[in-house]
Amino acid sequence: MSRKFTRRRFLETTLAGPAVIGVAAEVKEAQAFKQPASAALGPEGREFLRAVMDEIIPAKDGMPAASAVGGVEYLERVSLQESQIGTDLQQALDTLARLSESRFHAAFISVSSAQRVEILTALEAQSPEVFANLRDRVYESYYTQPSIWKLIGYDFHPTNESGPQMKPFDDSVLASVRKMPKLYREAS
Amino acid sequence: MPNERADVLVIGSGPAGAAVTKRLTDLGAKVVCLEQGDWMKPDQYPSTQTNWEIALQRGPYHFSPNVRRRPEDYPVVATGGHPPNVLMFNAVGGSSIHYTAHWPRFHPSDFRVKTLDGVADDWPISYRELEPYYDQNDREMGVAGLAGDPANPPRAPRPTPPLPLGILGETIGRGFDKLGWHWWVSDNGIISHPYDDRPGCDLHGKCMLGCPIGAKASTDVTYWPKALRKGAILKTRCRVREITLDDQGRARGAVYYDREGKLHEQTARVVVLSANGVGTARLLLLSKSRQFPQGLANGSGLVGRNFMLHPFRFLEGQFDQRIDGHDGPFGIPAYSQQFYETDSSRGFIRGYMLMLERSFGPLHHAWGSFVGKPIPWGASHHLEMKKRFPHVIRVTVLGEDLPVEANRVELDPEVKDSSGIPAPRVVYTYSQNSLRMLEHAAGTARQGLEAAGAAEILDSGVIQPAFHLLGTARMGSDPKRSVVNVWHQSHEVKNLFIVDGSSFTTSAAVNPTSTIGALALRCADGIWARRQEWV
Repeated sequence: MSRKFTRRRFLETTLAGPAVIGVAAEVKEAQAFKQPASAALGPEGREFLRAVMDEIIPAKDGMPAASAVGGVEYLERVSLQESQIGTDLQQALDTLARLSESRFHAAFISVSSAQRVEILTALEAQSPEVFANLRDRVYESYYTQPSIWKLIGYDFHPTNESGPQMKPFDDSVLASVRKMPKLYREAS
Repeated sequence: MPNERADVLVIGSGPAGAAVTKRLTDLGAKVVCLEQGDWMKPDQYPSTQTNWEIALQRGPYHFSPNVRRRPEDYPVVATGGHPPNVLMFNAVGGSSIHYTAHWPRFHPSDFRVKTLDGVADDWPISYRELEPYYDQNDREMGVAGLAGDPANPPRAPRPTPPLPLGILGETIGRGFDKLGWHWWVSDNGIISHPYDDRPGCDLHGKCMLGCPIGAKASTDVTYWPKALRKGAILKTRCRVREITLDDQGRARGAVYYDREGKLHEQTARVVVLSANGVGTARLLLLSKSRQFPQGLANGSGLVGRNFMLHPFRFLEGQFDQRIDGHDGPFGIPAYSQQFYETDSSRGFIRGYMLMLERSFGPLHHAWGSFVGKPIPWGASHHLEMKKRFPHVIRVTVLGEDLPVEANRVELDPEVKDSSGIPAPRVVYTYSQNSLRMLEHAAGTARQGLEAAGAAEILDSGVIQPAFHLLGTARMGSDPKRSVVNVWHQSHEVKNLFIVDGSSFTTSAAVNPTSTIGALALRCADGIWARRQEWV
């Protein structure tokens, strides 16, 4: 079967998620994530994802939050392109919704920032692989953005353009080593 | 294209297959090479795109065939005490498409480990016998570096001068100088200046995902264009199923599937197998017959046995100043062989190299880089990221792996590739010697980073084995303890030659590609010298 992630397949995949969810709020969130709307995520699903990713990479220390540089749109796009990412993301959101309801009897987007951090910390402890997938995708959405590169001092230098300037090799740096005796063993 | 009988059939177009083909074609042989991959399209390499680092985790340029899953890839099953992550590439150029291009040589002692250190077996050749082929391979591939390293025998001037060390190389070099330890600027299979109609490196630093300008010496841009001009025939997307025999028990050729899945046989007077340390063993084990019920050339039972992977460990030092380790060619800027030769007081036999290395971009750092420690999420994320990027120097430990028969490549009874051919299953466990070596090396790597001024050091610990695939059709003089002789000729099938990482008797503690190429050129000369025996 083709692994190409059609919109239909995205919906099929995401609809498989809530079987384990028994709480109204988290079902609401999960379903919101599945709303077809104009793309894969509905407005509420996007808000849920935005809240999650902005706790993982918050606006702080002069840096923008993950969603401020197109993170939600990025994840929506790659979820459509790669089915496994959509599935993994859905699994993480489903679990976060469940954790939020069980701990705070409220939807993730309704709880405080400190409570969101607590929920994410619980996910990290209970399902490290699920959390790692989520975290890695959020990091990916952030650190592939040229606007972030400027802020952290990274020059990309694509290989179809000229590379960075570097000081040519300076032989004098080896002056001490050159005085060393032979270090290898002879063998016939 | 009709399958006319060739003088020599080469299976695999990587560093060994390309060198054998070019050399034999130069000498006048009619050579056909079967490659299961395709020509790469360098303008499509991920390094031209802003999301280039994604290829380090998924997609069609990933280093692992199990992740990449291109049509030409075959799955590799891994098990054992330390199941390895087998990395390779299937394309014209083989794994040279994505190797770092670090280009060290064996030491003379590496060929005499039994005599000098009482372990494993001596190679049936010496460093001095291989040296002219190292030089020849260096000229063919194009190398940047500097002769004069006191840790290695004198060598010919390098084809191009050293690549820049960058802030990284100079900083760690000063640290090693403080300790009075050896270090040297690396030879790399990346040309620093224009050479042989190829442009010099432009210092982009994304070499492991394919070099679009051709400065990195992958064999699709070095040996192959010249071999093809001389008349060699390279057939791509041809997946070999087995090596066939004539009724005399000699190799007749190989049966392969073309890209449409049609079966063909390519016949030849001589067959050379160069499909890497996993693929070569797999093909020999697949080629069972009445004469060779355990697999071709496997009377010793050693085909697939003694599988070696260099033990690796990564330490990353964080420095207060910018290091800009993402700038400059990814091949290794510098290395130390202070702990290369055996010193039994260290608690292990043989030794290791410390590679002083660059890094990928910000995303790879955020994901955890080579040490597997992701930047923390949440409130501390930005400050931690700023501490790490671009402030890291990586010291990579590469140790010698001694051959252990239980470490092996075999055929998986269930998993098959897309042509229905059984997949290889790799069984591997680190030896206690390797684990002790890695522990010692972690201590010295840490010492080196501290001496260079690292404010904080992260250690990968013992990692999942990966990288170089060696030893599964080992070279030796005794047919009971080896698969091929001193000329890479099968002890049992006289017109079958095996040359690639599988031919290694021992692994040494250096990246193997320059040695694979040198062995392949020497093997080609050996085949040519015996051409009167071809029938």
